[in-house]
Amino acid sequence: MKCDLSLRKRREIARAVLEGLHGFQYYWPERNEVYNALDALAQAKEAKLVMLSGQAGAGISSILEAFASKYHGQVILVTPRVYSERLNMIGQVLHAIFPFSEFRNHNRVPDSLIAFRKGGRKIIIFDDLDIITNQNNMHEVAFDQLNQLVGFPGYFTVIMSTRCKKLMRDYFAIKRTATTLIPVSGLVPASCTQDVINSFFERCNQQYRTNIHPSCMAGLGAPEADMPIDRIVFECESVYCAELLNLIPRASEEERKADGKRCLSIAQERVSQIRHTVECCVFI
Amino acid sequence: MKSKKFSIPQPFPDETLSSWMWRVNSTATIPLISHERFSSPEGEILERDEQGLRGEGFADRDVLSENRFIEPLMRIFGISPEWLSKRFPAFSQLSIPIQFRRAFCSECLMESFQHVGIPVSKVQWCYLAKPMCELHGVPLHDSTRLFIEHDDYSVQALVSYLDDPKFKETQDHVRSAGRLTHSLAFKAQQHFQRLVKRARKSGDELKVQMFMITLMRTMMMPAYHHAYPNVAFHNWGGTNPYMGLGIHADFFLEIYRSTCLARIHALYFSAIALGWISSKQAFTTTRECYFAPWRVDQVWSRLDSYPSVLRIVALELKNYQTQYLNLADLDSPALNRMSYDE
Repeated sequence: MKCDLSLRKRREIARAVLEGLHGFQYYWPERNEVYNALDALAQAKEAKLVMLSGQAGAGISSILEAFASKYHGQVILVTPRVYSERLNMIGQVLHAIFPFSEFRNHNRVPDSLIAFRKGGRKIIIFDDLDIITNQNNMHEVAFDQLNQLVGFPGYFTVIMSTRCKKLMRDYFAIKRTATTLIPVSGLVPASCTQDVINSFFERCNQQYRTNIHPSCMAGLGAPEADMPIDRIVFECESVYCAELLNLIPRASEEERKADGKRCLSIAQERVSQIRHTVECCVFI
Repeated sequence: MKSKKFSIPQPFPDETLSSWMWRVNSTATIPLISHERFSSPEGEILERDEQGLRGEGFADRDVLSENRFIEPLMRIFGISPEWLSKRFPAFSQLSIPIQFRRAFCSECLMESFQHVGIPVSKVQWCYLAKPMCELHGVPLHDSTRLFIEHDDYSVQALVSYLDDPKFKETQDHVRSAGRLTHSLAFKAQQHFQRLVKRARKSGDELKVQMFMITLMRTMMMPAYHHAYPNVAFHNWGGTNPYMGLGIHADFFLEIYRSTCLARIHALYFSAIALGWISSKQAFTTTRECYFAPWRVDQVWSRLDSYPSVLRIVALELKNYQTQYLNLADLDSPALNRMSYDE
């Protein structure tokens, strides 16, 4: 680790890492397939409804953020937000373009959105559709409005994600609009986990100019199966920050010899302890 | 200036202070300017009109010394007053008072939206004698939203231009229906701007501007209204029509409340009176407005029955004569005679 970083600076870095601002993304074959499918959508000329479906922690929000960032000029990203007034789905799209402005509600796609569509903004992303519709009590009419956005004259491609079973059922019942389902698996094969850890530490070291070695993860657990990406990243974040703040007790020479071989994953309980200690040091 | 450290968006050339501040506000993690203000318009248009006509002032968000968010902005982002003064100098020309300001160029707003993701307002739209976009050479629109009511004026102007029923279609029709007149008015505007630039060197800039504004005021008097397209009187000063407040109020005040289209025609008739547009050129525009004067004598003959107006014009113009613009340029015997009599 770089010695010249003050405690204040190290705490700032740890805070950013714990808040997920490191921006780390890992690409393994299954994940690349998702990105390729989204890339194909960005290039496609026809409008359609696209649903990303996967378990909690599969990284759907991260995928959508990365996609929105890559196609910045083409994408309107609608995320859950608290509004002073009830806004329908179309209204929320306009608000996503100008987040600090207020506009009246629209029952049909307004000309302004169509004009912005001509300007290149042709993809609308609704991340966590269930929360967005819940906030505005729009469950019943959500897909009607989304269909309007996909149809004439807007011709937007709408990408959304949800784990709400009712919305999924409604989505599968859509007949008059072209739909695509992209399954997202969050499981990283056991053979790739070490690569995830190395990549994470490399990314953070590069971004925050630190020098923390991934070997600090060794000796804290034993991974033998495929693991969800969010769990690996959670462990990496916790251990990286703990090492940055010198919060992991050094193992004795005997303990190290007793471990025998290097291990990758950490016992869940131990991770929680480390995370708790780090958060206490950083946020309190 | 610590803008790099905080990644504050840099102002564009000719961008207004309020437009830049809204862009800064939109990129800040916690917005500096709350949208709460939008829902509490500062009085109805009629009330503002009356206040404005009584000469009451309103804080101008495009003027550094009057913008109440400048202090917190400087404090939060560590911006120096010197940097601000350099990037946002005072208006260099006579401007439309804030309560009546609502001109914009839809093409400029759309281009800036595509370029930076948010529409950008320009200083030139605030000037009385610049009713046409310098970049696109087209008439400015009068937004249905007033600048004074919206901190995010450029956003509201663009969205309402696109979304208000029939507004865009009407504006586009106005632009195409008066294309010849507008192109000649644009030439006149460019000619006048060159004159102002030259006059700046000799310190006569203000007089030159006042001379032109006085001429435009004259051309906005009711005696010329038959030569204006009807749409120029729509939403005069916001939602009100032309009020007809009497000779002095009409002459001095109505130009501030007028629409861009009215100012374009006033500039156009002034240019005919000054000889900047020849009678041959002006005659070609009669197909766009049959009743519009197209010769110098026709322009001045409209005031034959209004000696009191002619007297005000003569008195005013006499005060603002310079080597660049003077009464002799106007080729009006009645006006010359009156200026000597007074």
